[in-house]
Amino acid sequence: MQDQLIIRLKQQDRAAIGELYDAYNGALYGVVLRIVQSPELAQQVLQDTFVKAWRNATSYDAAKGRLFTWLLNIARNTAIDATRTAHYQNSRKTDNLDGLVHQPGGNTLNTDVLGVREVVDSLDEKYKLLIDLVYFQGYTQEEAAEETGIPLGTIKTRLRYAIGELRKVFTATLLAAAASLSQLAAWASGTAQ
Amino acid sequence: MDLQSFIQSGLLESYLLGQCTRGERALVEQMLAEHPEAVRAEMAAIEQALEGYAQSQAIAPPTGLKGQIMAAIGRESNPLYKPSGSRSLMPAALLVLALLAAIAGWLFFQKNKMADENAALGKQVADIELRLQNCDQSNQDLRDIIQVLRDPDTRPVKIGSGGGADQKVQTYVFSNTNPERCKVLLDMAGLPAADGGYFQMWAIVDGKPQSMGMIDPKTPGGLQEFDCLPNAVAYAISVEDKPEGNPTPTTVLMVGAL
Repeated sequence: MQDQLIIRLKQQDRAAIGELYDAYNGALYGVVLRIVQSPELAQQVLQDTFVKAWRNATSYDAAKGRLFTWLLNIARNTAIDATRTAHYQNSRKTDNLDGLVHQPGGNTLNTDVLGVREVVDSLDEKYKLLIDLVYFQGYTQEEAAEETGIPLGTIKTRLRYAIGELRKVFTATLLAAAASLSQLAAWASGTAQ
Repeated sequence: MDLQSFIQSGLLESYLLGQCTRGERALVEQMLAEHPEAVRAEMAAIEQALEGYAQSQAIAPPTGLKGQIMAAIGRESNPLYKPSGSRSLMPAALLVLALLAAIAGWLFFQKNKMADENAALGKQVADIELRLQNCDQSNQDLRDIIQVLRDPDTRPVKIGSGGGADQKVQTYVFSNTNPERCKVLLDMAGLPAADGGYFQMWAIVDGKPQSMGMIDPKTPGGLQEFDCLPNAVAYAISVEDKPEGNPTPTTVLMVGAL
């Protein structure tokens, strides 16, 4: 199914980018919001991400990774760049992140239905922290070592272990189900094209 | 690198996290080429794990955002679509560009050529100016000398070696002994060749020779000026072995009395 989507995306089929949005908007927004901390800025970054993806669809190489990885890298880099502008530095807000995470009325996480959240929550904090830092916030492993005071070797081992644990949870079928559910929800709420 | 160690190394995770150095990326891509199915399967598993994790932390953006984004994408021009007109303009545009580039290149070349010619001319002018300067200086020197020669108080003094029939060398000193305009001019026309020695000019004052300085055979016009010694009664030229001369004459070549 991904192959078809990729072909259509490269053919500049607008419906294809719409489907990507439906499948991944929540996952990407979560990452971006945690980096930039501001909902307005996060929405702008998400928009920039999809526009960039649309513009560079021809350069996406399926051999080098899945669509989500590609989108996530764009989103993360755009978010990090946004935090580096002077404008952002000046307008740093100390938002309570908890307030952002649990938005009233619309934050039904599709994966909740599958009970994945609980499984992930059961993953030890120290692993989640590393995945957050390195995978989502774009710290290099060296920077993460500096930030946490954990030796670099330990970081490498923990990351590999953490991903290994996650792999047990997120099999291909589970992911496909989650993506479908996400699109279904979008259709149901009338925002699908 | 063997496949197992590669997979255990964590390089694939780094690659997918966008953390690889250029060298590491190259290695991953090499392993991808050598073991496509195995490496891709491993990559897919890692990606799924991370994607799943991201999904588990998902936060829904406002519902209106999708419409906004699709509108923004709609405003992007479609790079696959080319208006039919521009197709035929492209070669023409390229031709014009090439022509402009050629003209620019030719102009640049001309400018450089002219700059070179300018530089050459500039040097010529500088040379001419230098020669003019030398001419002017020579002219001024000659004028000075003429003034001295015309002066009624100027008297020629013959300096020769030996006397009478032995006089082999003769030269003249135009000596103006008027204290107000005292000048001694040596006419070097009759001076013999230096022959490794150095000529020194002397004035005989109170029975003793006093050095007036070294003679410079290269003086332009052949007339050298010396400082005046008003009580001089005679002049002499000697040959010395040193370019700076000696306090007393070594070999007196010629003498002339006022």
